[in-house]
Amino acid sequence: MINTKRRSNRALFLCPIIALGLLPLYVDQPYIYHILTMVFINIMLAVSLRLSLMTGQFNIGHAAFFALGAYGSAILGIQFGIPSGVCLLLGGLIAALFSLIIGVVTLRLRGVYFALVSIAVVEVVRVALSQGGDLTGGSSGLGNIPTLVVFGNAITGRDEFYWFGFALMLLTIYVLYRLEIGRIGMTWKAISQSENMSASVGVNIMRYKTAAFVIGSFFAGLAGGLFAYLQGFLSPGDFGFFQSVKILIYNYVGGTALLAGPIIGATVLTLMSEPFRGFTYYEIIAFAIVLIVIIVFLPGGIITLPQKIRLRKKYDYRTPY
Amino acid sequence: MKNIKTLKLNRQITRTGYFKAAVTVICIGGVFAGLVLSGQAPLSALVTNIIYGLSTGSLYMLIALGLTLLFGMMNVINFAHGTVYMLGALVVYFFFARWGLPYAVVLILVFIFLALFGVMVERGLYRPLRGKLEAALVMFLGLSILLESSSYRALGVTLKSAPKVFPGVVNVGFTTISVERIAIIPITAVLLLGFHFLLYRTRYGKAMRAISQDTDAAALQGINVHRIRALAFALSFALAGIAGALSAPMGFISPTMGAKPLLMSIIIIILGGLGSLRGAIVAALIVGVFESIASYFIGGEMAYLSLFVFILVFLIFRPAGLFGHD
Repeated sequence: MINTKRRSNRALFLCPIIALGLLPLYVDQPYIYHILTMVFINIMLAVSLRLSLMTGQFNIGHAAFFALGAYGSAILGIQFGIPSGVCLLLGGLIAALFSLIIGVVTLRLRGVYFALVSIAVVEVVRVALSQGGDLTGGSSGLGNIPTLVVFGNAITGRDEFYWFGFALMLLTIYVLYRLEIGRIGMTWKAISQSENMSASVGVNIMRYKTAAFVIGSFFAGLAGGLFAYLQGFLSPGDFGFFQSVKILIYNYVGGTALLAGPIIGATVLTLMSEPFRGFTYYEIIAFAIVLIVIIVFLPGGIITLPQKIRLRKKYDYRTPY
Repeated sequence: MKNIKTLKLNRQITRTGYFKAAVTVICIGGVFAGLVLSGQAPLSALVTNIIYGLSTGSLYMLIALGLTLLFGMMNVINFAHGTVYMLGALVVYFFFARWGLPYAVVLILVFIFLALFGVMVERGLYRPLRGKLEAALVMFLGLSILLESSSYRALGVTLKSAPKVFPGVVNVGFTTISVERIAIIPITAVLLLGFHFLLYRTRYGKAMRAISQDTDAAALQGINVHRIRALAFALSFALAGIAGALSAPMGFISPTMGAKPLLMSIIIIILGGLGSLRGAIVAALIVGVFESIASYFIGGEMAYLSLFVFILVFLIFRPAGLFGHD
């Protein structure tokens, strides 16, 4: 996977970043910012789940860590009055800590077994949140979340959230990109290709898998904190099995071969379904049809589309990650 | 010599799934018996809940059997199984509640429709994936979302219900039990016998068991693997559909009604051992009765939560389940 056109690719990445960064100067519609911030949150979730998938763990429980980050940062702010910028970070750390505990015991399971454990985790977290009494607000939800203050600036408007979310997403993508192209990323990919082989050349598999799981959960927790402050209201229904499935689907629709896959998948599917949230089921139907068509007819995801229609020939997408 | 023999025998007994299941039942039963004896709960409530639990357990059993059959043969979990259950109820709503066909005819229709649907899913969606595990899992998740959201178009957002088929209650000494709950148990038993006959007394069943032992070896023996898989899909979808059709007159019919049975039957097949049919049957009854009794004492949500915590721990320490083979 040697990239020969590094310079042109860099321009390809920089253009949308600059365009999105400058958007609030030209467009003045809070609703668009809300949707785009949701896109950023979903991108953060999708790329952080990619770490689990990259080590070969089919994780359907990612929404659990999203929920822990969201509820963690909200509850810390409400109950203990901790500054909300710190809460955001602490939410990520809570998710990471929890995933460390879960990961140490469950990551030795593989394939379907791990998938089933992760379903159990997300269901336990959701029901526990809905049974949490006054602390979590129970099944009716948690309100009164304080406003987000970062370095003395209160983030209240939709465009401010947009910028903050954009920055957080870029940070997430950058960190995960550096990890992925680095030594640790190569090890993760080696583990996903053959666990026994990696173990035989001296890779501590559990440690690497746990690292991937915990780092992914940390960023999911950050995304959860951002979601909590953006919505101002949390309900356990937002973090169920379906949310986990959606995060997983972003990865598979976009394609799992490259980091661009989950980004594209999350963007396309969120833009497709978010504006119609709660209105009609046609959008979810379209969502599901897109997913099934892509899984059956375009197994590598959207990122292999240019190759399929022969726009680009040289890239080798055959390696699984 | 004799000592060694008894030791061996003991070992064999303690190794069987039935023994482990019995220990589980005794443990759960002991807790509840303690509650009854200490005066925390009336005996009649306990008996009623056990019978209700057996009937819910029978429904779960029909779903879990198909799920575990598919897992045994293809190593995938069909996440769309809950929506197949819902489709069974949907057929009952339209054909029985709306258009007034006899219930028995509707049950047969459910069986035929969902068997055909199972074949379609295998042929159109599962086979093109050529056995890729992750793609198959994602495809099933997508299928379940698709079916659920499309049935919102068919059913509407309001809860629907079907008229009762077996009305009335029956008086068993110190407590009364509604007939429709009891009626499920013999119907399930008949279906179970048919399932057992198909699986252990016919060539097709033999082929299914051969595939679940070793797919490649079965193909080398001349078994048409794709066709037998399609048959397994048809069978498991039809069973789940019948479960939905049986449950439809008892409660509300809604597109999301399949979510809980799916998760419960996932718990069941983990407890019984993934791919094990006997395990699924025993575990379905255990889980059904446990859920029913625990709901009475600690409330439905907490019963659900405790089951999931239990299965999480169980899966970590004994992923093979009660009847599973590693």
